[in-house]
Amino acid sequence: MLQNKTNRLICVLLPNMRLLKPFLTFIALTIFVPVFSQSKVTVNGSVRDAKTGEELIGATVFIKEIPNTGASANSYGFYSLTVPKGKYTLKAHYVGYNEFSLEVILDSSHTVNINLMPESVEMKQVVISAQKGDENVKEAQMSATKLDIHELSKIPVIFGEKDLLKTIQLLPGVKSAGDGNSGFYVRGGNSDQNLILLDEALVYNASHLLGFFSTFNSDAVKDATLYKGNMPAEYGNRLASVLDIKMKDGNDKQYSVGGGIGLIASRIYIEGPIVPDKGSFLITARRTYADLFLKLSKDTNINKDQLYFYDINAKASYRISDKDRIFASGYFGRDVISISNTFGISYGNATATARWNHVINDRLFSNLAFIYNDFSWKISLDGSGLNINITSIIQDYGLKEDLEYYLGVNNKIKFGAQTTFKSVVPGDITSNNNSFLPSFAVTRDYGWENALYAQHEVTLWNKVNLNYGLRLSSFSVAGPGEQFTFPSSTVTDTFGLALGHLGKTYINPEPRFSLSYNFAKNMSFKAAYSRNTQDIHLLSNTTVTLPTDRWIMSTNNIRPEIADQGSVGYFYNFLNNMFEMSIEGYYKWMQNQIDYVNGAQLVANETVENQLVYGNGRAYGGEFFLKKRTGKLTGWVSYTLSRTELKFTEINNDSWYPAKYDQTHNVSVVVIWDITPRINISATWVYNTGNAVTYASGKYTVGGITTPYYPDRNSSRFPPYHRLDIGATFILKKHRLWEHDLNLSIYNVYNRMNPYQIQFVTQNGQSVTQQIALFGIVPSITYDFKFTYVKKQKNN
Amino acid sequence: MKRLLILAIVSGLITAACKKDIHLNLQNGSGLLVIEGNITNLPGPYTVYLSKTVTYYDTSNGTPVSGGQIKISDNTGNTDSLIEVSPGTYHTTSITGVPGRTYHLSVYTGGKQYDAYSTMPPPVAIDSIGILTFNIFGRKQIIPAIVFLDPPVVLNYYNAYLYFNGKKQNKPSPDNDVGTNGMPMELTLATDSSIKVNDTLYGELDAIDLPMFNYWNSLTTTTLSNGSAAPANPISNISNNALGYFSAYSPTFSHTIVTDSSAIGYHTIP
Repeated sequence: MLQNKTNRLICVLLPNMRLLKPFLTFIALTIFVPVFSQSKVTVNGSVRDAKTGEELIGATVFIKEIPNTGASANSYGFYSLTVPKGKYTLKAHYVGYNEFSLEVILDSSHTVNINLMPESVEMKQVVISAQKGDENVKEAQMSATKLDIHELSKIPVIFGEKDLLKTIQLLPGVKSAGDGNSGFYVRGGNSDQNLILLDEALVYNASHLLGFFSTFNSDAVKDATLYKGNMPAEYGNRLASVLDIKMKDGNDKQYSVGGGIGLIASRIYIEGPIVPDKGSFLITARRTYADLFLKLSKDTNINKDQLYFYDINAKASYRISDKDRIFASGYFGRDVISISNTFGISYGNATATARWNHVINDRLFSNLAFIYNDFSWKISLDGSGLNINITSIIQDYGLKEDLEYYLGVNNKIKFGAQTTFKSVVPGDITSNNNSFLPSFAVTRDYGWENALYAQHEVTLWNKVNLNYGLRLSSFSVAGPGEQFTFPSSTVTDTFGLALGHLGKTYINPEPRFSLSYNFAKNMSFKAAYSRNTQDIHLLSNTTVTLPTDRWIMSTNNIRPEIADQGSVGYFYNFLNNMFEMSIEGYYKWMQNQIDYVNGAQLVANETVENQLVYGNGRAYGGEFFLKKRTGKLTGWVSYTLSRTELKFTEINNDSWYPAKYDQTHNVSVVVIWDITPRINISATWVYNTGNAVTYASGKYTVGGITTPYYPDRNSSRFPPYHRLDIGATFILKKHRLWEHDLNLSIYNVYNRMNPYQIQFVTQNGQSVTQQIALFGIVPSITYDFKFTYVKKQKNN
Repeated sequence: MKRLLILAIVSGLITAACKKDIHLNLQNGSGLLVIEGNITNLPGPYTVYLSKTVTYYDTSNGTPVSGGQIKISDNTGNTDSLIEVSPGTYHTTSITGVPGRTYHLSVYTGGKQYDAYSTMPPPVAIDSIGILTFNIFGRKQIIPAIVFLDPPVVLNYYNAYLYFNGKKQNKPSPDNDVGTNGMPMELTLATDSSIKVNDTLYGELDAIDLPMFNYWNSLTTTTLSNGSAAPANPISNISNNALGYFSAYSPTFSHTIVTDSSAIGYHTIP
């Protein structure tokens, strides 16, 4: 079956090859010419933090004498530059680090490992103003944001727990799902259309405690980049965005222990060398203890309640040789909510990644990774005479090979292959009382996902950066399993699929393209187009994102979701890169979007597919971003004007209607003020148009029941959402070996009651509307500490 | 029953939140036609109500519609023209409900024709009505339930009601026999009342057809439930976008006076 599809694809492509000729010639010229040029040499190596040995992702390495030679270190800190023979000054810089400079005589290829020294806090005020680069303007990649992990710690958040996902929601084009919800929406995409990767492993549910916290412990995070749709070809299988999070490798020079104690949660981490300068490890752990307060309660029912989560990140790396490095990393987290020992819900993710980085030659870098991840949940009821468990698990096993070939200065090819086997247990019920709730095992779903990709990044005429590629993705329904055919709302045909057999297969070519034109100093125009597809879909029919929402893969009825996005933007850095400004516009067209019929039953339903309806979506908008990057006062203003609409034959008479998360205006203001090197205060203010909702517009009585009448779906709006948070950090002591600080924050300073839900209910015979808000003002305090242990260097 | 689990989680979450009454500027959804028609296997006359919607904050809960031309007919050739006995209330004169027959409701009003069809399933006897004691979030709660034997026919649909001390509780409890075909079933009855010893409980179990199950099920899950992401009108079996329903059903009843021995089970839920 797969072969047939491939053959058919080739048959379609071949006759059109003639048209591709000019394009292919262009590729040949840009790729191959530099390779054959004579008397060129290559300098390569890795860029690391001089104190911890951590690779610095995205650090810029360049040759002072040749303008526009900048190469940036890849996700593993590797760089490679090919230049004519000669005597040069090799330079490297990275935000928050002192510039590196080295005289090199390049008469043959060399490996130069670069160690960058972090700026000390005391020096910071002086040095920082000259340090920020203009990569954001020059690079072809658009609609991408690399989060500054240091900045993250200064932004106030609820319960004082710094949080990557909450910070992302302050960026243009990214919308919050509301209070108590880690879900986010990017450029009109739904919250299940975000690809969230932790060390290359997929994280299905990025929230703890039903959304109050994210699964990412910031102690373990080295780097996080968000791509708003126009993602490079190496990423796929989500429509809206990629959030690529890399864990720290651990310090390979000295041991340190750190942590934080807060009102709700405490954290601890330990890192250090396994073998100095060769191997390192990092272990971080977090636990909330809200339920410990419940133990103090005299009520014997309440003090048995449990409400907590914990998570652990662990990573180890080892440099086998200058050319080989291996990594193992993992995450394990679990949420537990249990009431009176009789009712419990627990859920969590686990990920494991084993990687091998290999420098094949001075221009060719390889990363091979084996990836496992799962997400599972369990609801249990355990009472007298009743014992019920409902369980669900999604598991992915993946293998992936990425290659990067450095053709020359600013000329690089990335290519690779990925294969993933997925299985879903949608919700099994085991019960000892079948008349109350029958035991039930829903058919397992299996799927096989494959992708091949290639991407070329090149700079032309020193002004144009071009980045184009193709991702060829496929998804096959895999056996064993039952498949259903639904021309109408009833099952007409059921056919079995045996173990080891593939059912319906979808193949999708996904072109990706982006370009920047630097038409003046620190100024560029960018344009991008990309197609993305998605083969796993989240079905949710409540306003809150429950962990028990159901993931379902494509089948013969559910076709892959497809999105085409075009974007243009203008980027400008001014006053010596002190300010960064961008204006971007986008238009996105989405096909095969999924919704469900009114009254759909999604849990423990064998034939859930006949509850679903399919339609199209369109999203467009403008994003404005202004950031002050250096000085004592930093921060940004972000404004998004956008529209997201959906169209389903079965909903609102087949006319376009706003998606729930269609927020016309969206504003974020972030201010961070470093009053002294030891004290900083910060504030964030957010405002957005209320989400689209369906309000009742009338009522009637039928069967003795006063029934609200609902007009078209999403035809009303919640009141606008706005909120001010403030925070302050006091560094109590900062010593080479020992530091601690205190963080105070106030969430929702002016106690705005933002609606979480509006209910239409009858009370004492009167029809009323009730607003439910989750959080008023929430103050919190956190104490952070860090100890470093330095082993005396032995003189051999 | 499946739904109860999820609702328990959601309601548990919301108890911690701040709630207040607010007044919203709502759209005007008044003046839409509502039809309610019932026919059962019990002796007639059977009643059809015609009304119109009112705005949400209105003090009344609907406006009666007079002067409608209404007919009920069955698939064996019987036809009955209804007479208006009070504004908006219409009675049959001759037709009788027989399980297995399909009934057609025809309404002509305001210059428009509305039609609906419903098939009457055979009645399913209630074995007993009793109480289930639940331990919900540490509080003891008594919920009435009926027990009955589901017939071996695949796909039976039910709706049930509680009469508490002689008064009907207008809270439907729809269910089906998916997973329990031909087996004994326990169906909890929705109620606001707190049940004590010596209260009189009547249970009504209606055997209904699929379109009516869809009506009651969508009514309880997406119209009256406040946790729904997309609240919507219940799925009506009437043509031309009229609200309401036309149901041909077979009810059975059972009653008990609550004593300490009325328990049919003790369950600890949340």
